[in-house]
Amino acid sequence: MSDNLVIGGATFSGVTGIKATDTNDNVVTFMSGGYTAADFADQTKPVGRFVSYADYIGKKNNSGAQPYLSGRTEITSIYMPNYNNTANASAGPFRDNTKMRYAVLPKMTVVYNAAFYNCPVLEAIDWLGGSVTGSTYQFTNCPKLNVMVIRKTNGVCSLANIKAFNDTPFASGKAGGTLYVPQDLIASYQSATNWSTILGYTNNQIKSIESTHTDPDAPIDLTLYYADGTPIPTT
Amino acid sequence: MIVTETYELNGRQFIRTYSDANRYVVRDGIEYGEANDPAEFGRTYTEGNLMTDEGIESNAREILDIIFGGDE
Repeated sequence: MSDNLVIGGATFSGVTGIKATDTNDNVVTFMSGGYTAADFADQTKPVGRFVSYADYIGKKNNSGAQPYLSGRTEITSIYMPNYNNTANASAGPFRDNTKMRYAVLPKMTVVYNAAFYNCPVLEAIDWLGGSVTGSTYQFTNCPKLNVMVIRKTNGVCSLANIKAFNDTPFASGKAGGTLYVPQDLIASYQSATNWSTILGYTNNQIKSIESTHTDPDAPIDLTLYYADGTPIPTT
Repeated sequence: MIVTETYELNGRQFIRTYSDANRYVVRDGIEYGEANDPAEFGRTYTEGNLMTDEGIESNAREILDIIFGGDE
């Protein structure tokens, strides 16, 4: 991923009905909104799509490990515009998605234990922010996660433990990652509990989200990719 | 009991605060598994709830269920 490319926000705004096939020739369908619990529970329906299952997670929270979108090797990217967990809903909702490269969750406020555990090709997470809670494993074993965008504007997203980034580029001695936050909060992140240590590692950077949008008329890159890096055609 | 350790990172002093009883440490109502702060802030913490490793444990349970046919 380009260093100055930030996905999310308006990136996929209005994008509906994109269909393509993944490397296993499964249909990858991108849908918007209105996805029900019954739809989600129907394992025969095509997955690898972005879905909106706020209703679903609202009904099934706090009951232990739920499958949600975990272990779904068909998924190459997710964009869930209405996913808004406000509590420690369940562990590992996106874990073990071994082909997922990007996760765009513009309303997600809580990342709990093992949320993105073991997503080996995940490169970027773009989310609203609020808190990274729980004991550990939130992003553990995501060795390619080199971009995190946190869009929350009213204060720092709390980080419960630096171990959340174990085995990621953001960890000590690794290649380094880039954290994008609102310009007005950069200093706050640099002094915040745990973020200050993460950002103290030599290879990590913090940049403003605004700096990536210097030209408001510039075209937005809508390209999605297969797990092998080949662009997915959008027609 | 709350434990604090001082360390240096790129020329800056930091303090690591954690509980030796596997509890969260808490400041301003926020729970941290381990709190790392620039030393100059002098932040202090109290012990909170016990930590769990939910997620990894759940995965282990799922594997055992598959092997031994656990209940739904």
